[in-house]
Amino acid sequence: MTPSHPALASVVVTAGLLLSGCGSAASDTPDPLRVADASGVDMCTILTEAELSALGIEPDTRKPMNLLDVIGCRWRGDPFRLRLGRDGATVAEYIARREDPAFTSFRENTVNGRSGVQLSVQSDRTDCTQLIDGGSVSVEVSVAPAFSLEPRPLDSCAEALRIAEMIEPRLP
Amino acid sequence: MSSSFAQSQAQLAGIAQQHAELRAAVDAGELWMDADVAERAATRCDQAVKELDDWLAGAEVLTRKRKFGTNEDGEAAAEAFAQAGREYLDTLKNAQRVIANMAETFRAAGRTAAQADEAGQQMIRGTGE
Repeated sequence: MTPSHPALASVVVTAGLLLSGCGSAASDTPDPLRVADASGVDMCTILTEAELSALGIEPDTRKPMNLLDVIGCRWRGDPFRLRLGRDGATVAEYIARREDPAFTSFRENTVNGRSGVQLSVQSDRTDCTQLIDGGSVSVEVSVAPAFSLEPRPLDSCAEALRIAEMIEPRLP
Repeated sequence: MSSSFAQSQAQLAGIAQQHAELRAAVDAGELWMDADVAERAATRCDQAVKELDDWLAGAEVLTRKRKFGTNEDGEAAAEAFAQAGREYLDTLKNAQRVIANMAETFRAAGRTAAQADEAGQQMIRGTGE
């Protein structure tokens, strides 16, 4: 069962941490946090219009999307376009597919202690999707450069991680 | 065997070549447009570039989400689909570049006409003085 209430989730996390400290050898790599279920999170409103504007996103360009179990919204902006969503596939399921030829880059990371993945699908790897563990789902932050005939250098993964770190404390 | 996206890329290259010839004619002052008409055409191109951004966002999800089996057939299908996905994304981005260049050309053609009008008016004023 996946806890759905934040208080219950914190009890489960605390108990999990206590149990993991008993009878197991200390590891150099901390276990990722166990997280509550984020399947009810509305990714279209998780950032305010002021926060979106501060990122260079045009709030009025918001378009809802529901495609292949990815539910969320996308926006245009400068210097990048943004997509926020929750994905029916978990981070663990993506990690199991890390050798999938669809990914032109793939690496595991953490977002404020939650396990995550950064991946690209474009041949020039200018796009970056940051996935965050959301229990039974993953939460996605996708960044790609806005089109320009004279594009400026953009580290899409750094931007996606920065936005993911803004969002993560708001997840259950 | 070339994919349908490879054919689209070839068509785009042909359009880009035609556009380069039009741009050369504009730059040489041989081709111009009424400034309002040129701006309307350029604005429609700008809109098309933005619409392609939306297509790109959907295509990225499609490319990322597709899963195939771990058997030999599944892996071959995954490789073919991944290749097609990348080509589709590349094609959309190339189309954006071609259309954005067209917008630039329309605006340049509009400037040429406006400059020609201005030069003509100055000449008339000069004659009248």
